Amino acid sequence: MTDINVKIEVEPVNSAPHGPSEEPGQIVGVTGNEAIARGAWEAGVRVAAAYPGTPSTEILESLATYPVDDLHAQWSPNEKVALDVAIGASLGGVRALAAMKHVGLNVAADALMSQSYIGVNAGLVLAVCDDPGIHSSQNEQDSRYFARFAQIPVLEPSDAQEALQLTKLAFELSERFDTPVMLRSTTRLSHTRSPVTVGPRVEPPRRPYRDDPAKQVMIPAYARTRHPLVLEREAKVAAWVDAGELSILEAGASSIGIVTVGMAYSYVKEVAPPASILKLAGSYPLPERTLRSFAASVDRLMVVEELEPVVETALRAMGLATEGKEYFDRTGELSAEGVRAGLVKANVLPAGNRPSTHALTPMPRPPVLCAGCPHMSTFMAMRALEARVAGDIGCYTLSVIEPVRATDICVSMGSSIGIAAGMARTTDGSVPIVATIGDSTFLHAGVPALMDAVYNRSNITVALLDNHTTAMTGGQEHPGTGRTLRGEATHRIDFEQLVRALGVEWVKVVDSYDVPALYQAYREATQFDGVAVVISNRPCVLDPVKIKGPPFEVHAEGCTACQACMNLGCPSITWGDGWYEGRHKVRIDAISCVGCTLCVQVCPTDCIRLVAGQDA
Amino acid sequence: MSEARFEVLIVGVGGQGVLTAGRILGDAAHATGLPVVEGQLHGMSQRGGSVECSVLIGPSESSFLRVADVVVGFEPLEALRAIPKIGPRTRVLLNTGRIVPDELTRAGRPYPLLDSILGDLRAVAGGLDLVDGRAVVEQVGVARTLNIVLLGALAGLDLLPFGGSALWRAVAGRCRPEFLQANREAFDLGQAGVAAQREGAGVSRERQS
Repeated sequence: MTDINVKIEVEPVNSAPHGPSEEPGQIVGVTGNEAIARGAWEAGVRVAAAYPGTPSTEILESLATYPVDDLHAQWSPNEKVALDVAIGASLGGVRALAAMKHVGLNVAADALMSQSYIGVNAGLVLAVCDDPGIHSSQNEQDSRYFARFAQIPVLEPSDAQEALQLTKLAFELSERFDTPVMLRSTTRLSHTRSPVTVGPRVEPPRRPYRDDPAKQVMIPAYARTRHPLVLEREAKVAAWVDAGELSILEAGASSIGIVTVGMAYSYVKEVAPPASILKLAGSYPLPERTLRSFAASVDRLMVVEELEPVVETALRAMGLATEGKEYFDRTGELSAEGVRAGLVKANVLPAGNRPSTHALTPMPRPPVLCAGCPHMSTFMAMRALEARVAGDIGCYTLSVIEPVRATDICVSMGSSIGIAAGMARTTDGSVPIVATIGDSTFLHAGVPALMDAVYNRSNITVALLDNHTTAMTGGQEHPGTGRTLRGEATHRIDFEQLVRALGVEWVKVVDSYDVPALYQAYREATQFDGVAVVISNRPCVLDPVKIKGPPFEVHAEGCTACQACMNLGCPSITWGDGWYEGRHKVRIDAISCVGCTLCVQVCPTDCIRLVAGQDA
Repeated sequence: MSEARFEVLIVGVGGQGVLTAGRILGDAAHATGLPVVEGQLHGMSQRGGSVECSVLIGPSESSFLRVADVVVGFEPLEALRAIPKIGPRTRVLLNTGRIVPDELTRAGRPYPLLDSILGDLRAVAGGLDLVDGRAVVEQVGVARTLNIVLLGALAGLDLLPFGGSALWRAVAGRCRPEFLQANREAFDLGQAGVAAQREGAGVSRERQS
């Protein structure tokens, strides 16, 4: 069966290039992420770096459409490296930006916490995108706590125009107060496109490098002198925010005063309650004088903010009686409906007649592995071996869903290998322990873990799922693809060499469309006493090129409804009309089938063949 | 406060071209000089999950869709999911081609009857227009033109604050040259199909007061 020729036709993915052709003063439709990129470009950013992560990915993708003479834009293997690169550029004297999703900030936190002590030379901005509602993440942590933790100012735009303006302001604040500044977006803002008036780019002169070890080298003696300065800085920024026009007061009824920030402001405006509204530009540091005078001007004080009660807690600490999270959810994404419901609960708005809610709950449709996904066969093998699988972050996490259901644990980027190593210490070796990790995730945080596994003589198998791209976020380059963010050719990591250099003795590279070879590799790998690495080497069906081969069909007369193909979890395979011994026969949707042949290889009755007239 | 605004909600399944359709609609509005807000949630959009995209055309303070003027349903079950955004003023344009959710397949449960879905939509919407997208796409010969068929049909409804030619120019602006011809055909067939129904020739146009 393996003589089937897996020939594929490739179609270049439609990449619509869009450059910064807009003239200053022009109104353009941009997403929040594109507005952040535009704001950074207008502020004269010279270096920008990121690791892709939904919903932040498009910030760097957009910056890479600006002229190469204006700025260097790059993907880094992880967020810490991206922030380090930005730090180096800032200390070197040019404005720099690092972008990341909320959980990426955890990775970069080590750098951030000490950089707060050091400050900046030229402006340093972290664009951090949170994901309330967990649309595409592993948690919904609130990054504003990180700003407080690191004691750096955070600005929170409420729409794309503000995202542009506050990004520019973030660079100015950074330089004025000698501090990194966080610009915090959320999924809704990052991915909503709205009209924005753009401005010209300024080119701040390069600042001379400052030879100042006491400021830039955090040995204990120097760090101790820096910490008090961080506290002084906090007070200075707070005073500046208090004195300026960043907080916007919209006077209304004095019975209720609503303090709000970021996207929550847009939801409050949508609901238009009879209240006075104080919109903050960010939740740290807070303009205490403004807040106290606002509180004194209203009968009831209420905070509407998304996720954690960051502002609310701070108001309480100021001794101000406030309401808030008892009415508005602390979990999930806020919405206009959610704000309205909260204000009804708080007796600010009348209950009114609720719109008729149709009692319909259609079957949910979660994302699944794509038809022809090169990860599918690996997870079939995991099931066949009855392995315990520590998974990782990427498309392949979807293998947890029925019918594949082959991933048992998934925590954070790069954690699969360490978790497998720990798990292996708890078993007698009778259950194969396998870590599954994608190419981009392996380079992000998996390499030290593999080093650990070899160093400590772990008995695990690592499935390195090399699909030649960062697939989950839409197909970004990484050091294993041989291309940079701007598409230039560069060194391409050889995964086999890398793994061997770490000391792995058992390494095999297989094509994951070759089912018998793949099974054989995993059988041998899991029997090997020590660290074994199987590298599957088949590109993603979506990126960098969309793959579409001749489709297959089921010849119903031969189908015994055995479900072997069904268990692949391929979305092109569904129940057909016919029955065999009380079970549904299957059919293949020829439009979505990409011709990967996996189902052909697992079919015991050879009833899956090329659609008539197709030529393999 | 948004009387002048026209609100479109596009719903479907990842990979059907929902987000591209939203971009094109936004491009057309922008080119016509109308302010437009496009809201979308993606990230896992290409992987067969539910995808929705709102395109709010015309001046307004608000950035959020309330009750849609038009819902373009790329898939019946996804249109059903949009019911909270459908009201008496909503026209639903629905591609009748079904994509069976994997969970239904795994659970061995049948896809709901189309008539039952249409009944639910009729109960809340102001009007329902059906498109047999698969048949049109087969006629065109390029599977990935479904979104353009539906944009053509949307233009054929004659509800948008700009004409069909403006929408076509936006399609052409995002189209690779080798697919221009196929997309033109898809757009025209979609537009003509709906227009024919509007003249009472078709059986699939339904309208309630």
